[in-house]
This record gives sequence, structure tokens and C-alpha cells, in this order.
Amino acid sequence: MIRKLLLLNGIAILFAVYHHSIYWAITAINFWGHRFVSNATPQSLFSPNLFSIFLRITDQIAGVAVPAFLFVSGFLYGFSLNHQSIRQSYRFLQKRIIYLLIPYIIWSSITVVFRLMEGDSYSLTKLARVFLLGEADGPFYYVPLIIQLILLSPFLFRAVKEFPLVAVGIGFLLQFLSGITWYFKILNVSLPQSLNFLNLFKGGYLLSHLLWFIAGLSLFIYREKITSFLKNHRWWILFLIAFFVIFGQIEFQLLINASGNDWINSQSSLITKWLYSLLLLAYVIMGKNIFLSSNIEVLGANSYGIYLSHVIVIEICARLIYHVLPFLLGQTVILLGILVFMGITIPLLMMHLSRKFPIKPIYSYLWG
Amino acid sequence: METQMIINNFILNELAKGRKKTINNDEDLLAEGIIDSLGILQLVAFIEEKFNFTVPDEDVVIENFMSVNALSSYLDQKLAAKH
Repeated sequence: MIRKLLLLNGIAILFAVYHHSIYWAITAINFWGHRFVSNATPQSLFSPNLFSIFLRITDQIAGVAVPAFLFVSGFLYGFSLNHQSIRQSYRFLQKRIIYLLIPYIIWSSITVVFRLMEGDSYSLTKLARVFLLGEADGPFYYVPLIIQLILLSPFLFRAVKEFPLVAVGIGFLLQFLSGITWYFKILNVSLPQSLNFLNLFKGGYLLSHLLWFIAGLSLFIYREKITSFLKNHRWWILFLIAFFVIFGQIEFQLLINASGNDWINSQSSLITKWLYSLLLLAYVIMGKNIFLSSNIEVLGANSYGIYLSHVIVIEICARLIYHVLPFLLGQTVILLGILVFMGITIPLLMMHLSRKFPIKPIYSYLWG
Repeated sequence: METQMIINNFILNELAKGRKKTINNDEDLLAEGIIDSLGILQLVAFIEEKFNFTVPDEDVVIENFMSVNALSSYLDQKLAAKH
């Protein structure tokens, strides 16, 4: 189980890079058509077909990346806090937060500078949101989220140890309530008077993501019981995964039709969130031998550095392709392959070089 | 002694990532921030490959991974039982 978590972290970072590469593949298809087809107009190349369904399903599944990071973190914080004195626990948590926070501030600043060069402007409020809420770019929300969970972890650890079912139940309920508000938002409908209390659960990521951290903590504490329960129900889990993948696609299409959007980030849908929970449960009882597992473990070990830097790397690559090799923009599979490859290897190369040069003492402040 | 050195070198070169120049074998690896929680997973992977034995899940407890000394005595014990 333990090594499978390193592998899961590696799979998660691959999925995260893929998920963010899809954004550029969709941009290329929808808005950059004029670079590879002479008479293309915006969106003329985008229509529901087998390939776009493939993109949707893989994007939906790849969104399991952050839940997987939280699940692994929950397990590891369970390990780190078990049998530790409160003083030792907080000392450890304090160090962890420092090595998460400083690279996050550095990479958020790099992203802000990059955006300024592109012509964006930042008010003081916007800058505060960048650093406090992780709004430098899409994936940065993860860092304030994990820091909140780390701060809560001593309390959560005790809660899961004493009242495991209540803790999981509360995590599930909070996710459900915050998930409902997303449907109103995506459909641009105000909450009815009777559901006004749901505004308490709107916004922020803590309530919608807490369940996966609690699930990781629970797995650490009740490993044997959980594993044997899951093994006894494996066919149900597989059936539900298939059901939620299909139902998720139907929901995606219904929401697109009802909202008038071209694309919806389905990660926030309740169906998809339940799918992620089921995928994580299935992973717990899966065999550990997968193709290239030792290479993927290397990615897992370096996941934080890749996570912080891959977005900007992917964007630079996509824009370079737009200017230098525009014919690739129409070859979505090749484009995605290039972006994923670059999004992984360039951060790894930068991390490798940071270890070789005299800046090694500050490596942890750059990459975590 | 040799196990201690192997573990110490691996932690210093691969996991400490420049946070420390030397590691005292008694130092608390987690509380001192020498390794992070992901480092525990890397340590398990390293041990399994270097010493060619599978670390059982129930042995992955803070007591065995607290310091270089704790880990090497756990390993010495396991390796002696294996031979």
C-alpha cells in the first residue's frame, strides 16, 4: 500500500498536467483555427463528436489529480501525527508549511510577472487574492487548500480516530452541500429563499475537498478494515465507476445545453466528485504493478515542483507552437502529447539543474 | 554501521534537498524538517530496492522512521531475520 501511494502521487501529477494541457488543446481547436485552416472562424471546428467525447471523459477522469493528492496527504499526515506529542506535531507541521508556502509565493510571483508581460494589470485586491486564495493561475488554489488542511490535521486526526464514520459522514455532507451550490452557479440561477442557507457552503475549496483528506487519514488508521471491506465490494465499486462515468457525460451535455457554455469544468459536479472518490477506493485494492511504475514514482516524488511550474511551461509551449509550428494546433493528439511531455520534463529538468548548481541550498524553497 | 551510512547518505543526497549539510543519526527527521511526509514513501521505495525486501505496511510507523538510527536498527533486525 505504502509504495502505491507514491505511484498514485505520480499518476496524479501526470493527470494534472494532462488536464491543464487539454485547456490549450481546446483553445487551439476553438479559437486558433485560423492558424491551421485558412477559412476557419472561431468555434467552427468544435462540435460534439467521438474525439471530443474522448477528451471530455479523459479530462473528467484526469481531474482526480487533486483528490488523489489530498488522499495521499491525508494518509501521510496520519502517519506523521500518529504517536507524536503535540509539540512535535506542530513543529513538523510548521516546517511543512514553510516548504509549501515559500515555493508557492515564488511561483505565484513568477506567474504574476508573466501575466504583467502579457498586458494584464493587478489591483491590490487582485494581488491579495493571488497570494491568499491561490488565484495566480487555475491550479494554485491547491496550496492554500492543503495548508488549511495541514493546520486542521491534528484535530481531524483525532476526530477520525475517535469517530471515523461521523468524520467521513460530515466530509461527505459538506461536499454535497457545497456541490449543490455549483449547479445554481453554472446555470446562472439564484438560490431560492428556502435554500438560502446553502450560501454558507458556497465558494472556497475546503468544504468540497475535505472528504478526500479525511479518507486518506481514515485509510492510515483503519487500513486493514477498509481494504478488506473494499475487496468484498470491488464489483460494486467497478459498476459504480462505469455508471458515474456514463452519467457524468450525460450530465455534462445537459449542463452545456442548459447553460449555453461550450465547455464546463466538470470537476465541480457532484457526480464527478463521487466518481473521484470511487476511483480512489478502487486504487486502494488495485495491484501495484503498472507500466513504467518506477518512472511514475519519480514523478510522484517530485510532484509539488512539477505542479507549481507546469502551467506556465505549458502555456509558453502552446504559444510557441502557435507562432512557430501552427500546423500542430490542428493535430490535437500530437499537441496534447507535446504539451504533457514538456509540462513534465521541463520542470523536472529545472529541478535537476537546481540540484547541480550552487543554488542547491535553496532548492527546497524553489520546489518544495 | 554500514546500514546507517547508506540511509544517511540517501537522506542527505536525495531527500534533504539542501535543507541540511549533515545529518545527525539521532535527529528527528520529520520534526526537524529534514524530510517531508512524501520522503517517507521515497525511503520505503529506496529500502525495498536497495535491501531487496518488502517493507510490510504495519512496519511503516513513525517509531521505525523517526531517525537514521531508528531506521537502521529496524532494518538490521529485519535483514538478520531474513538471513
